[in-house]
Amino acid sequence: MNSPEPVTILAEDQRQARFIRADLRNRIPGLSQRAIYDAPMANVQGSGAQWVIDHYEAEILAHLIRRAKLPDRRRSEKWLIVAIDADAGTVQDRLNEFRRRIKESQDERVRKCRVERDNVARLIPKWSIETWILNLNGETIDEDTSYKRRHSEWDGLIPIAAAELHVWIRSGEDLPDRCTPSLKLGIAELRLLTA
Amino acid sequence: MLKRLYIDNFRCFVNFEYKPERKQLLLGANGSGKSSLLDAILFVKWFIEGGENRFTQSTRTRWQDVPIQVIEIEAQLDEKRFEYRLEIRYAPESKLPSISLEKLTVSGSLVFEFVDGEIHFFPNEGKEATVLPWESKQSALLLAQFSNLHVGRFIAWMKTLHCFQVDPYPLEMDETADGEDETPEYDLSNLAPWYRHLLQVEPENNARFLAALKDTLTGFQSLRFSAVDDGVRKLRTHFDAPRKEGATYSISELSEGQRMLIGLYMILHFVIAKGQTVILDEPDNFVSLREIQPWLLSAEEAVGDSKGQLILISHHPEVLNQWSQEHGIRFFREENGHVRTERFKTDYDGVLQPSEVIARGWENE
Repeated sequence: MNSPEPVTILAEDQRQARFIRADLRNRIPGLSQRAIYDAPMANVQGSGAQWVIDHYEAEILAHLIRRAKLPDRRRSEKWLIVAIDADAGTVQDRLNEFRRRIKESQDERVRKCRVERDNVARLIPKWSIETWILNLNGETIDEDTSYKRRHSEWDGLIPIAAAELHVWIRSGEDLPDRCTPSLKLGIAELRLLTA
Repeated sequence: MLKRLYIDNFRCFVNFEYKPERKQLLLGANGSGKSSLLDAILFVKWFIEGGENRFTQSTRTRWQDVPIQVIEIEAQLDEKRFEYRLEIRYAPESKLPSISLEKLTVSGSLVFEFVDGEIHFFPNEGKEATVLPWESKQSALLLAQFSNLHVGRFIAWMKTLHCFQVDPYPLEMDETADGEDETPEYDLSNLAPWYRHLLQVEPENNARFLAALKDTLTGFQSLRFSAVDDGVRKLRTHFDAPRKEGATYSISELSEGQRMLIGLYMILHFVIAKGQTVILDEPDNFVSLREIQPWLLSAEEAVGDSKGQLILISHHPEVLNQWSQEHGIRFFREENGHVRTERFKTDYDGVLQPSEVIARGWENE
């Protein structure tokens, strides 16, 4: 990106959004807080994942409308980053749900969307973003365990995780062995934003 | 009804023209000129009503050196077009302001003019009758109000053109009323003396006002004056209270939000409902989210019923979502230059609420 441009984040909770914001600031020096917009999130008591799924189509459409107003050469400056935990399901389950929402959209613009081409990144940690945060903080973990309750305080771990993520994104194909499969997919999505 | 406003060389306004509609929402970034527009009108209003000239050197546009400041106000009254023009000239060295021109035309005919130190009275439209030398920092228009009915009509209308920036802080909103005020101050600092006047002259509107407060303020029972020392009367509220018949609170003991709501419903029932022109800056300040829409919808209906005019200045999502699509005018400044306006439009209709578009900064992309 030539200059910081607004990025929209559709996340299911504040921790996901904070992790993504930290990554963005590492990747785009000078990116101000004003350049990042967190779309409204679900009530913490509600289902954050369902909220993201329900708002996915609208955010895709808003993103496409916004990009369409720009000349082709500038469209890649506008990003939409979507984050949703895979929870007990699989990453593929979530991707299938996203694809279904696009395929069944009433709006032709959404149906024509190709997320890889249209600067939409979908981050789907298995189980949850805490798994990625621990993984990026040097822990070897598995994706069959929920680590949400490992710590009561996660804020301090997020900047370290985001800094490590930045290194991994820039490291080409040589991701560490301990990198979990869902994080590998997430890194691939994030790399596409700047491809 | 206010039909047109022209401002040149005032703060960030350069050759600026705005034609308000019956209902309008002025929106835009901080510093885009919305409240300055209100100030310009307020300064003219105070000037015409006999106050001192508030246009001073510091109100001139900073990035240019133009000696004349111009404000024009156009109103449609009794199916006639009233055009008032005020020119302030700043001395080259001292930068002191003086009124170089003040004039009023009605449907194109001159009915009053102050120019070159002389007042020109026009008892009959278009016919000059009297010339009077005049040296003052005050408006000469007041002198002419009895010489021509149109001048009197315009001055009377200006008194019903209200610019409000309500300030609900207890030290600003006085609860004592040792007299009556016929008109509200711009900040409602005279809420109590104004209400004391309204109690005498508008009992029906007062009944509606109190009913609205009962509907809005939990446990509200009444609003009345109580005599205290030296004959001064203080405005008191009476609320339900646990295990008692009720409790009395002075206005200053209420929360800012409660005072603001009292002020807003006074404006609604005693000003907007009478068909007057109201420019209201940030009515949503201090008010809980639940209370904004009921007031806004009531105000909208009152404007429709009374054929009045309501111009709101707001950043509040609820107000933006209710009014911006149909009534929104966006103020903006390119490179911190002069104020420009455009009708608010969003390409995200049905996808994102207007407030969401604005929160993302997408309205000007």
